[in-house]
Amino acid sequence: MARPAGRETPAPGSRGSSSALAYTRRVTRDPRPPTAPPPGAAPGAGEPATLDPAGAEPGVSATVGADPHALEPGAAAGGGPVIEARGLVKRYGARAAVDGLDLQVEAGEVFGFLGPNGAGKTTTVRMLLGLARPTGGSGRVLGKRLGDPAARRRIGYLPENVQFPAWFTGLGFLRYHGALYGLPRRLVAQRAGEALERLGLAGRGNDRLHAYSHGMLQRLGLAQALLARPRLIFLDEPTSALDPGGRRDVRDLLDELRRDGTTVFLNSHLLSEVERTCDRVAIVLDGKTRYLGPTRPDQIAPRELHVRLSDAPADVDAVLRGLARVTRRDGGRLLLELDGAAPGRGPTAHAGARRASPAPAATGTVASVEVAPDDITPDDITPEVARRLVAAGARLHELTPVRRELEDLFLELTGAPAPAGSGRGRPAR
Amino acid sequence: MSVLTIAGATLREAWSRRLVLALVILSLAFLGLYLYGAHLLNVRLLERAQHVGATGGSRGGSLDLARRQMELFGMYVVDFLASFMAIFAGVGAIAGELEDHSLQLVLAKPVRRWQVIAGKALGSGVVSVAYATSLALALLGFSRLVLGVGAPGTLPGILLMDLGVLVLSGLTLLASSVTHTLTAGVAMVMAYAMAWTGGVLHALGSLTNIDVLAALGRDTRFVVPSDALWKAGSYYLQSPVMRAQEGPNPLFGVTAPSAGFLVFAVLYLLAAFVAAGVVFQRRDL
Repeated sequence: MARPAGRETPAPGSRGSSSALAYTRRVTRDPRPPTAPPPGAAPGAGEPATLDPAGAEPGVSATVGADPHALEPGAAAGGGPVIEARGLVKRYGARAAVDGLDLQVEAGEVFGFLGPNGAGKTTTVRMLLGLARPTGGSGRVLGKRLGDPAARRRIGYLPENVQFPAWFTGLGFLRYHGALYGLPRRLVAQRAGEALERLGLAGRGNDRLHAYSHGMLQRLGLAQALLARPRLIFLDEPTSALDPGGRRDVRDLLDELRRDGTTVFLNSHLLSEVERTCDRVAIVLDGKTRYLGPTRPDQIAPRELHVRLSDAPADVDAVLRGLARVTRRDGGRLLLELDGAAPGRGPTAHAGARRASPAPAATGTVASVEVAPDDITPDDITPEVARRLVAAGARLHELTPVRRELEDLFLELTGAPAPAGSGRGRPAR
Repeated sequence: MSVLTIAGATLREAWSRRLVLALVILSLAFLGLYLYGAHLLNVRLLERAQHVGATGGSRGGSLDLARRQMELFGMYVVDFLASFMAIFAGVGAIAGELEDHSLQLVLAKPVRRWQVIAGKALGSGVVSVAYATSLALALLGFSRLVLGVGAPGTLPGILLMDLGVLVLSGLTLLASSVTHTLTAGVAMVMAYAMAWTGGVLHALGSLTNIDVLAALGRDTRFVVPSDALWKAGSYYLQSPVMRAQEGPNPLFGVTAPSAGFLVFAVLYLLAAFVAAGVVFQRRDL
């Protein structure tokens, strides 16, 4: 994507007034003391907030210039979650496409929404946008009820597999969607030109869309999603038609949006993309949220421990009962699987779900341990394992949580077989 | 504002997809064929009249009747073309755009669903009525030049024909809001055929004095009033002498439409648009 010459990178927490599509804003800091940022919030999201009539987000006092459709005060800009779903249900006859889904997305997050085909992702997005009516549960988007047109003024959306009307020109298409947002014609023309330039389509605006490649259409779809300076943008597989360079450009775009404080709801099958771009992720399966948490391996709770011991007790499993069990032994090394550290659940939720099987005598040293305690959080497990082993007379040389990547987590949850040669889990670096 | 934006896009689509161009070219071909046929008819009948020593221009004479029937038949084809244009131009208005997900893109904007229906109705209605009216005026104008005859009630005739086309346009929008493009298209062709069949049954019942058949055909207009509206329009396109000479027939109306039926037709049209809005409002996209 072409970047405007001389573009400056806005400071973290600023409202990105220097980007090509940036708002025309006067940004002033609020003198009130800062508050703690929400989990996964972008830098700056937890800074002091002052809402002006234009409805800026937390962290800044902003006046939106030449933008007649900024949200009213309190419309999601008041510090509450940008997306909130409680027990969302969508049934088609007897089949539940979404079955009690819970979700909370905070302002400024780049949020990944993952799941296998048929998990209910698209249906969820459609309900959040008001395109489909929930059968049960409740939800709010930008502080408004689902489908409220006032919220949709500040929502951008790019669905997957959309076929753009081929008879439009690129500029005509953007003008049309800008008009649907209710933006003044002059502002639409200005933003459409900027968007085309930002998405690398400068000079192609007067071409009809039938002359656009698939990748160009995807860029144009992104451009229309950005026209209204959205507070929240839903992107469904935004890089599926793009080459590696295009994907990098979209990553850069998402970074810019994050810096601008825009909340991004990213629906993608490309786990590596999600891992690289998203602050938090939800993994859905059978219409339910099975995991809601951080994206990066160093933030995902470990499920296994590598342990290297000498003078190990005869029955390590007995020593670690309720915490972990030995699943593999290699000389002096044990691999312990932590009881209850199954993905997507807290340890309490899985307590007792996986009882330790009779363990081999720990004559060697390293083990991988599985953990499932009733009353110990994942953060407590590693020191507790160390304490018990040492108390049982072992000399502990190494104890390393095995980090899981998003792909490991996804495959565990969805029950998909791991790719051949993939080592699930990696020792923490 | 969104209504006009969507209606404008519908009009631009008709123009940009070269629908208008195709309509103009094919309609000119139709007009050319019709006018050449009318010219041949006129010339041959004049030759015969001169051969037998009759005058060709006598008002109410057999030659005049043949000319007017030719003109009326041309208008029947105009109504036929405009009806199918309204069906095929509108059948994908909602269903087609839902199938390619472009309408979801529109409805993710601050646009209400009734505005989409209203915009589509306005856009496709304008296209259909503009086509029907311009083609009808062209045919009547050229007929006057070639045949030397004119329809007596041009304005009410064309307005009622336009109302019939609008009814089909509204029904098409409703069908497009309910089901898939192909299904909606098939349903609308069937609806047109049912209305036409009702008109034929009514004429046959009247000709044969079988009251129940005539009533069956007549009452079909309350299901799909498009054919009855054409008949109403064609009534005004004929002179009283012409209507008296023709008698009941399956193509043209020979009795004036009642005010009650015209009110019903207008309400029917509004109901079709409202029903499309209600159905679309409740539909999961």
